[in-house]
Amino acid sequence: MINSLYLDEQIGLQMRGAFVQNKPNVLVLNDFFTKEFAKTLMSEFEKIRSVETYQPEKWRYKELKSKSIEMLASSAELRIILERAIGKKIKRLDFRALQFKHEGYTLLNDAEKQTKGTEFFITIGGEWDSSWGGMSVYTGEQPLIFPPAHNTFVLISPGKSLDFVKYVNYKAGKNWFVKIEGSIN
Amino acid sequence: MLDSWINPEIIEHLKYLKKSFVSAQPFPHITLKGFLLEEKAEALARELMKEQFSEKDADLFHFFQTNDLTESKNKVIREFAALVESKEFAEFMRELTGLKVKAGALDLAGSCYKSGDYLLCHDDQVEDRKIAYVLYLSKGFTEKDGARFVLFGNKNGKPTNEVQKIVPSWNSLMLFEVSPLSFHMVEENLSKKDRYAIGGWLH
Repeated sequence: MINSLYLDEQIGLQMRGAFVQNKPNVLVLNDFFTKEFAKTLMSEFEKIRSVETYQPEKWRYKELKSKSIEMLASSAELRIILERAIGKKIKRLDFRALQFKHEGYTLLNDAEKQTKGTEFFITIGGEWDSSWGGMSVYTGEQPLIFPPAHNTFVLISPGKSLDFVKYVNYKAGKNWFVKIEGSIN
Repeated sequence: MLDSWINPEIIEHLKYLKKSFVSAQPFPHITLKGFLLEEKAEALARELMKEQFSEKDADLFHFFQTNDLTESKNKVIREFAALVESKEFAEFMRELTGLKVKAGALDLAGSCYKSGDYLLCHDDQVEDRKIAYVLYLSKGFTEKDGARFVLFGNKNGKPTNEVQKIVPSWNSLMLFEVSPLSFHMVEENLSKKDRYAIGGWLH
């Protein structure tokens, strides 16, 4: 399921080092899933028919449920990687998969202005041009901007910074991406 | 002063237009087509394009905006600002909307929505804003171009469905009463045309 490189203990130590060194704590891993699993996810996401959730002042996306996402949520491999990177045992993982396409977005939510724990997201989708929008943005003096890059894992401790997904404009055409989000407790 | 800028037919029918403003759903608003005298609208549009626009980018929007136009050095823009700041205009607004605004208490800026630009749903509610106004100064926009002004219905203080969509027609003035329920957005500009407008809030 997950690229075996990231399951190596030595690599785990390097990941921990990189995560702690960055301020705020951030770790980005490319080619996170094996090619086969990433392909399985793509194909599942293409087939899922899900109802769009639209709260105009908050967000617009589709929440997807799939067997592979359930597998991932209960995966021991993922827990090992996360625990090595953050340096502690995980009590609970909350998981969801959101699909964004043209007109999709999330907005900053002032009600969530509180220090957040560590969270992560993995993007699955085709080639993406940053002029289409869809970036995950963490606010702050120097905002952190993550374009929706296929099969990329981002681990972040955002502290008090808020995040949003930039509106996906019409230039995206029929392209889409899925953001598999998790929060660690 | 009003006579030298505003279409006299609009000035003549204020009582009727007020009824339309007050009873409009989902919240009080009105669109006045052919608002300015044609030659004034042409001059204003031409001069607005000479102003400097800077990019505005946040979670809620992407578009381009001028600085405060009440301080513009452009003669035509300054004259338009003087109109909007005048006592006559404040009285005109009171007659049109039933809302009392202070002469000279306003925000005025130009905006330009290029292809793909948008402003997502929000309510405009900031202390003291009474009326939001926008004068559309681009020609040729139709429904399929997007960039429409969208008014949302509401339930329990939250926006619900899209109730009205207003095409940004040339020389139309769109006004609405600002309240915690005046949820609206500017649809994405799906065309290759630039959507110019001038507007702001009356306090």
